[in-house]
Formats: sequence, structure tokens, C-alpha cells
Amino acid sequence: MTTELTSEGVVSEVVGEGFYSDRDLTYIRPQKRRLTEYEAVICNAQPDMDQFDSGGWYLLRPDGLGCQDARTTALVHPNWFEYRDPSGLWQRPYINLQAQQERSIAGATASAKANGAFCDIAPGWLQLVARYYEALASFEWGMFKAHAFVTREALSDTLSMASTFSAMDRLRHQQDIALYSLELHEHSPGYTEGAGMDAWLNDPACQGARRLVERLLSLHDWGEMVLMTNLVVEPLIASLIGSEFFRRLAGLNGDSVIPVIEMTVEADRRRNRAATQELVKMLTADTDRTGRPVPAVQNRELIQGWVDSWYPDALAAVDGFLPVFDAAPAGSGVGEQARQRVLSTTEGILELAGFQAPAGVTS
Amino acid sequence: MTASVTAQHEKIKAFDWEPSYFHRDALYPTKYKIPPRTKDPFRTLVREYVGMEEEKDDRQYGALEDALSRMNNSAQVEPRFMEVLKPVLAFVDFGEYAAMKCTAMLIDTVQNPELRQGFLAQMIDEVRHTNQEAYLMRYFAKHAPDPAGFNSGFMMRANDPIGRPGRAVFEAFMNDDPITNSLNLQVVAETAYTNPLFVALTEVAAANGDQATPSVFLSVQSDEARHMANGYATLAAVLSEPENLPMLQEDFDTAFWRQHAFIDNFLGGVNDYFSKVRVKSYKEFWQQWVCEDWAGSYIERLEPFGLQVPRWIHDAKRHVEWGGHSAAMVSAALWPVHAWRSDYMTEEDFAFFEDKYPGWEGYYGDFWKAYREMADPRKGHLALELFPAMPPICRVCQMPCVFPRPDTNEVRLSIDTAGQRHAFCSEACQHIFRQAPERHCGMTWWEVNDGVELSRYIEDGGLLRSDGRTLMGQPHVHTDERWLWTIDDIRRTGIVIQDPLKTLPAEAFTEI
Repeated sequence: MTTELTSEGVVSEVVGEGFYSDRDLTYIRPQKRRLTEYEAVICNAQPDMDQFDSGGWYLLRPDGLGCQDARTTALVHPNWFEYRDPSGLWQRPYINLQAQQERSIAGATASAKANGAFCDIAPGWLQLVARYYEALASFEWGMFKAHAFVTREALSDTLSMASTFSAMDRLRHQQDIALYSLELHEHSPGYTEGAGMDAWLNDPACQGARRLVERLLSLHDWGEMVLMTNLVVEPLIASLIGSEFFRRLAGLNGDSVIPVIEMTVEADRRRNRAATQELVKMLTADTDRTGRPVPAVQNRELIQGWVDSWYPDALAAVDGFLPVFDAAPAGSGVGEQARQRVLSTTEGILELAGFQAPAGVTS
Repeated sequence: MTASVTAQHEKIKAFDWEPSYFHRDALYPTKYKIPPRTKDPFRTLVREYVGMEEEKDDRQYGALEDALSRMNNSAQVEPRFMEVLKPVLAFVDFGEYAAMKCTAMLIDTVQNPELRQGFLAQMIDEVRHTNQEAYLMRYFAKHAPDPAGFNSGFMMRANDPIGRPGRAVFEAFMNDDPITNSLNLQVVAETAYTNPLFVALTEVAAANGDQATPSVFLSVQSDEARHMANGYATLAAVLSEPENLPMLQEDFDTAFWRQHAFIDNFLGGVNDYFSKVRVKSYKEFWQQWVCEDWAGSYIERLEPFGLQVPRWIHDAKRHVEWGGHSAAMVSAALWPVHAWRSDYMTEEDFAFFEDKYPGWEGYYGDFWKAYREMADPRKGHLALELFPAMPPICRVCQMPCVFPRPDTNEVRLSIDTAGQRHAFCSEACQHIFRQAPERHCGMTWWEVNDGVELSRYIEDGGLLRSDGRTLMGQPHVHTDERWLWTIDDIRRTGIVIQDPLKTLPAEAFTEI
């Protein structure tokens, strides 16, 4: 205590003792023994009538919904605020992570420019990048937009924050593709940027993927959006196009930048998938942490119904894209293997979550 | 060579399309017509953004974690000022969070790619601010001489009679037409009020020895400048369609009053009653930032496009003269239900008030003299007893109906067809209610707690310190144990919380 303080009645020996108070946030029940930084900066940021708030919302929405409203998803849980994103990311570490990933991409791009690698890319590959990599950027733009209402409606702050980060992942990927396309336009003879939109709107290979993202964009249930994105849509179609096609084949065609971009995206995808698995775990547990029953059977049936409905569409998108593999230099014949890999991975993801791919549509 | 910045920004916007396989009507429909293309208010790529924010985060969190902690800066802050950071951080944090939800709605609804680029970057900025302010709250819980209230932040704000109007005002960022939300958030709150909040309060904090809050608030404000640009771009886009104007003016007027009703009265109390080392009066800050810069420059420049300064700006100006004092007086009278300590005013404070607000002593002096007398628990009296009846709470803004001053209050009492009684602090709040009564159903703090013994409220509301008897709130910042109010002192008063609306005679109410 300095002598300059002028507030009356303050005695330094007394005020230094912690004034009969806990020295950490007392209103958050930590998931583990100690309150984490992630929990401290996010938990209970969102007001809720079943947490601490009372007396109802002060401004109902024009359609009569409350500020946060359980009717925005068919999923049911007694306490959505129990959710914790296993990544433990809040803004600072998230920004740090993405800044690091972006530096990797910028570094790879700068090196490729400096060492002339852009001129080594197979012309046939460039044509595919011009059409389908840009089309993938439209897919990601759609995915970004589809997250907006999840951020608005999710029934806890931990879920809303995870959705915001997930949305920004897609935006980052979309912009990385866009910027890479401009680089190729500048530095790779024969590459013309701007061809992706035609492929996205008209090429049969992209229509399944476009249909999927448009279906996601048409949803009213934020829970369905999160679960189907991370359990079905992305494991099948985003993995097929981003990882199996672009990441695996780019290197074989002299393209050293796309694998870097896609590996950062794969890390995001793994993170979002783990976050979703955690949500499923919470929704299908017998009870919440205080012993209140969770309608696990009802939730499980609901989610399985969604899987049954989404899986065929996602598989059709996969099958629709397979001819592009055959068009790629060094890609002939690998499409079927790629298909089997994403199917197998997706079935594993679903199985881990306690669900099954619908019978009869996987072969 | 790399593509130009302009080419990059054009490129990233070129991936949107009109869906044809599935269609969904807007989840958050807007009544406004938005032009398909406008100027880009926010020309920042994700790659640049994350690098820029990472650097800012490193500076800010680095300062908190390193230098300020080592220097034990929190112990060098005037205790009176430190107390007000408890409500400020907890309340404002919901504003940031609601802003995140607001921008998510705008992204979903507004198809204009330029505006959308601005909204999407703002969405992640708001996550940043939500986290920063909660981090600072926890930082003070760990380091401040008195952690009480910092440690209960978001629970405390939910129950507190001044925290609840904070929720009411920020719900208006996310519960309406997305463009109306934007008017509340970007055009009014961020453009008019983040300067008095984040800039003025930074000056006050620094003057009172607090270096941690300026580190965070100035970092927040460096993002707010971009959000103001979003607000201006949105407003300009809406104004470019003449048919929007009539509804825009109504929504704009409402947005201004809603924000004013809480923010000015709250910030007035914060600035004028919790500073020990004084910088300026809130009235002076308001004159500079809200009246001259916002209404007088920013909004007046839009008059050629048909937008008028808000309908109730003159009422606001009149209320700002005394509103903060009235709010501070009611808040102080309710000190036992707060999780922060409400210091009494000294002769030095009296002189400041009389100098900055001539006539102050005549209106408020007796209360504060008595309040100081009552600070000693041995006297056994609460300042609540100084009011013949506590003021009712406004159904819309949830603030006490004491504005501009208790003796000149503009309260309006109404009863609806179902027989429910309502109070409104002003003509403006009553007007807002009449536009959509069915949307303003939230219970006031009085209604929620009517009939509850004050001591029970304090015990059940987690307002006791960890010794189980000393109140978090105190009517002073003394630390000598004999000055500390305990739950036994409160029990002895026998006070029961009562909704003043219930005891008023039926003839006091008019049909709404």
C-alpha cells in the first residue's frame, strides 16, 4: 500500500489479507479439480434462467422466443452449461494457434515463390486446383455461414464460443484458398483464378457437396448443424476433397503449399470433431454432473435419425466427386481407396460416438 | 510480386452464391432493405487479423501477468475506485457477449458481402473482449486487496438490482431485427458510449492508481474503432434506401433511449461516485463524447440523408445533469445487496459535486451526510430508511424511476388489461413498451424479491464473505473489523424487501 491512497478507513495490514474471501471465481463448478483459465474466461458469460438469472427475459424476440431458448434444438439436456470444449481454447490460445498456422502457410508460400516451385507444378494439376480448390473455398464459406446461427442460439457460452472458433476455422480455410489462388495466378503460368464458382455451381462433381452445405444452411436446429457437420459431413466430404484429394495428391504434382494448408485444416477438423464427441457424450450420459437424468435414449434416437438422414447425402457427395480423382495426374485409381478410407474413418467416428452408419448405403 | 490488397479483398468475397437445392427463409428476418454492394468497412484478412490480435494479446496479457503483478499494482489502487470495477467488469462483459451474438445474427441475415466481412471480424473481436474482461475480473479476484465481488462476478450481476438493468439493455443487442440490434450495438453503444466507457474510464482508472484496467480497456477500444466503422457502414447502407427511413428513425430513437437509460445513469454513478482522484465530471465526458462528437458530429452529418438526431436526446441531456447522482443515491441506499462496497462521500467530494453540478448539495447533500453517519454498524440504521418509499423499477429499462431527480421524477404508472401494474421511468420507456407490450414481460427486482427478508436475501444470494457473517457490500471502504457490517446487523434491522408498486393506491395508475 502506498501512502498516496486517500480512501478513508483503509488499513494496509488488514486489506492485505484477502478480506475473508476466496481468491478465485466461486460461481463456476470446474470440470476437474481446479478452475482452468478456459473456464474462468468463458463460463457463465451467457445469462440463463436456469443458472443465476431470474424473472424472465427483458426483451422477448419478435417471434416470442426468449433471449436463449431451449426450443432452438430438439436435443434436450438439463444443464448445457456443463459442456466443456476438450481443446480448452479461449480467444487468446485460439488466436495464437491460428496465427501460428497462418505463419506456416505464409512461410510455405514465400518459399515456393522464392525457389521457383510454383513453376514446377504439373499443368494438369493446376487446372484442377483452379476449379476444385476454389470450389472447396465456396464449400468452406457456406460452412462458415452455417455456423452463424449456432453461435447465436447455442444454449451455453462454452458451446457458443466453440461454434465461433469453428466458424472462423472455415473462414480461415476459405481465405487461404482464395489467397493461394491469387498467388498461383501471379506465379504459375497457365493458372487462371476465378474458375471455381463455375465448378461449384455447375460441375456434377461438386453438386453433392453443394447440396450438403445448402442443406446445412437451411437448418433451424443448431444441434443438428453441429453434430451432422462434425460426425458425417466433414468426415466424409471435407476429408475426401481436402485431405484425400488435395493434400495427398498435391505433393505428387509438385504443389508444396496445398499440403501445408490442408494439414492446418485437418488439425482444426480434429479439434472440432473432438468437441462434438464431447457434446455427444454429455447428451447421451445417464445423468448430468449433479445426478439429474439426461434423456439419453431420446437424444440418441434423435441423433441416429439425423445420421440416417444425412449419411446418404454425404455419401452421394463423395461418390459425385470421385471422377475428379481420375482426372488428376497420379490420381487414377486412387479415388476408390480414398472413398474406402473416408467411409472407414467416418464409421469409426460414428461408432465411437455410439452411432452407426445406416445399413445398406455404405457399400 | 503479390496481388494487391484490393485484389485480395475482392477475391475473398467472391465465393458466395445463391442456394438452389435448399432454401430457408431468414432465421432473423429484417424489415430493412439492404443494398447488395457497399463500401467495405473492414479490410482485414484472417491472416493479418490473427497476427495483429496475437501481438496485442501478448502486450496486454504480458503486462498483466508480468510487470503489474510483480509491482503489486492492485494494492496501489484507490479502494473506492477498485470497488466499482466489480460491477463494471461483470456487467460490460455481457455487453461484449451479446455483441458476439448480434454479429452472428447479422452474418446470417445480411447478404451484402462488404458488410458481412465487417461483421465476421467483429464477431471474433467480441469473443476477445468477453474473455479479456472476464480475465481481468479473475485477475482482480486474485490480486485485489478485496476480492469479494470480483470472485462472484457473473452470479452477482444476475441478481443485483443494478446488474439486472445491465442485462436488459444488452439484451437489445440480440433480441430484435438484426439491423435494429446493430443500431443498438454499433451505432449507439459502440459509437457513442465506448469512449465514455473505455477511454474516459481508462483515464479515471489511471488517475486512481489502476494500471491493469487501462491495459485491457485500451486494447479493447483499439478494436472498437473498427466496430464503429461497421456501424457507420450499416447505417449508410440502410439510409441509401429511402423507404427504410421512417422505421429507421423509430428504431434509432428507441435504441438511443434504451442505451442512454442504463449507460448514462450507470456510468455517471461510476465516474462521479467511485473516483477518489478526479479527472472530470461525467457530465463533461458526456458533453464531449456523446453530445458533441456523436450527436453533434457523427449523427448530424447524416441529416442530409434524412436521419435526425434521436427524438429523446434533449430529455437525455436534461437527465444526464442529475441522472448519475440519482442512480448513485439509490444504489448506495441498496448497498447491502451489492457485492461491492459503496463508499461514503467526504467534504472534498461535496465540493467537487457542487462545483461541477451547481445545486447538487441542495438535492443530494442531506442524503450523503446521513449516509456517512449510517456507515458505522453500531448506529444500526440502513440508508434505505432515508427513503419514505423506495422507487418503483421501470418495466422497460429496469432502472429505478428516479430520473432526472427523485423530486422531479417523470415516473408513469400504468395498469394493463390483465391487471398487472407497470412503472416507467420516462415517457420514452412507456412509449417503447406500448410498441410491443408482449415483449416486455421480465419481472423487476422488486417483483422477484417481494416479501423476502433482507437478511435472507443476502444469505441466499451468496453476498456473505467466506467467514460466513461479514457482508461483501459495505457502506464504506474501511477495513477495521468494528466497521464491518455483519449479517447479524442486518437481521436486527428487520427489513423486508417490498415491491413499492403493490402498495400504491389503484388511482395512481392509468390504463396503458
